[in-house]
Amino acid sequence: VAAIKCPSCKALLEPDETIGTETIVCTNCRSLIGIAKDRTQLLGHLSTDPTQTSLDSPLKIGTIGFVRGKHLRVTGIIKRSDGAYDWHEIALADDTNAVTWIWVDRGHFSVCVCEGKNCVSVDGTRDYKFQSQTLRLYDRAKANVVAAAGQFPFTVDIDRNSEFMDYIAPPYCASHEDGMWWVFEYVPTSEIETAFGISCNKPDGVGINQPSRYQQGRFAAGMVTIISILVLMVIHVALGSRSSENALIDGTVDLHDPQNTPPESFGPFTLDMPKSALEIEVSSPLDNAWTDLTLALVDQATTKTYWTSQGVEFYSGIDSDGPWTQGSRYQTALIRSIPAGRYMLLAHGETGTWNNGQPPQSAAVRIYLRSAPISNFLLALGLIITTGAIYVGLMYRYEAKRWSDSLYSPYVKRDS
Amino acid sequence: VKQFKKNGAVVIYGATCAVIVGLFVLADFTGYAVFGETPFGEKPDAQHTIIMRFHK
Repeated sequence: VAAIKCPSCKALLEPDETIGTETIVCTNCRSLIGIAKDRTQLLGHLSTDPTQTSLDSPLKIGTIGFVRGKHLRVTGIIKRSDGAYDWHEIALADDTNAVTWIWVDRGHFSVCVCEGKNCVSVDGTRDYKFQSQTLRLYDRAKANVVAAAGQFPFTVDIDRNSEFMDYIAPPYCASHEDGMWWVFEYVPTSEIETAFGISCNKPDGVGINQPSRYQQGRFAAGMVTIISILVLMVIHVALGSRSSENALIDGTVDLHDPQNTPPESFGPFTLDMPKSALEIEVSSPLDNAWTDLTLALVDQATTKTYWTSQGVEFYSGIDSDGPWTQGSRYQTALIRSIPAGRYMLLAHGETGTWNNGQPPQSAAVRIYLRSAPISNFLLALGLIITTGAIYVGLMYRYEAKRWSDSLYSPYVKRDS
Repeated sequence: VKQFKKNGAVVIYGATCAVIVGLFVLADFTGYAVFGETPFGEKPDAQHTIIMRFHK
């Protein structure tokens, strides 16, 4: 097709015959001109209001790039809107002059990977499918053309207000309009910048078909969680075997006359690990009485002393509600961070009674090595589960953000 | 493995889990109990003085 003149302003236009131009936008007067068999026809005038017609497209007419194995050249740009919400549809010709599309939504790019009536199938449950992925309805709206530039191998109707439906299954968005499907695949902005040698603004929010890194990584995250828990269990069992049910100390503290009885000594016993956790068990057959043992671990080599106190108390009686008991004749406590060494245990008791109780005559003291206490395992398990819950929460939040502009969001309950 | 290479979220998640497991292994290996009563140590007070006096 040779150069033609704009029927409106007589400006010279040069349709690209290689792509089979059927519509060209006059760069001078913004008229939309149809071309058929070397004849031109004025299809309409685009608004001259720059606030509406400003294309502000990240890709300009004539920009060349290499996207996903194709050399592409921008031949036309259409800006469409549904009320205050607008987006760009960019026509690009490849090496064979076939036209493909890039859709730009709030700075998010998607390239058309299928165009036709049969791109999307319907399965037995009446769900729409694209490449075995189930598509979910995201939006149903009407759109019209508010601005255009360049040329297109079809007739652009600016008066048409056509209805479309968008279905998504990230990274895909399948748009159904006029009985045709256009399936777009999300392309990261960085890839577009590299492909076309341009610099783009940061995309706004989450693209409707933007892949979620949380979703993409959920299998790996699940595997990490399972492996972490298995490692925790194996380590706990393996190192827990160093703990022993044989008491390091198994002694009885005489409580007949604690005021005038010197501390009793037990041991010695040896702790080999840099730090050891010890479980101290105190028991006494008392009733309506208490005893409190002061326990000191004395390192025989350094004479450093680590001491603690541990007591038991048990009370019982009968009142208007019947018999009652309070306290316990048996107590345990975990003592942590005892350094390696050879230790003696010194024990000294105090006693007391309540009501008609008899003072206890003795208390048993046992010390066990607890090198890998269950509390360590439970804490680590809790942290792993919490971390996993945070991951799931972030995944949920990402999806909720994606669907925040949709009337069909599965994350928002709407009154029917 | 692919998911680890290009997915920051999974890398951070994996690193967090690794740190938790590592700290757990370190604690169990050295015999450190995260929970539990810390011994009162060498700081003398009335009871400690009494028991040590008897001991001497």
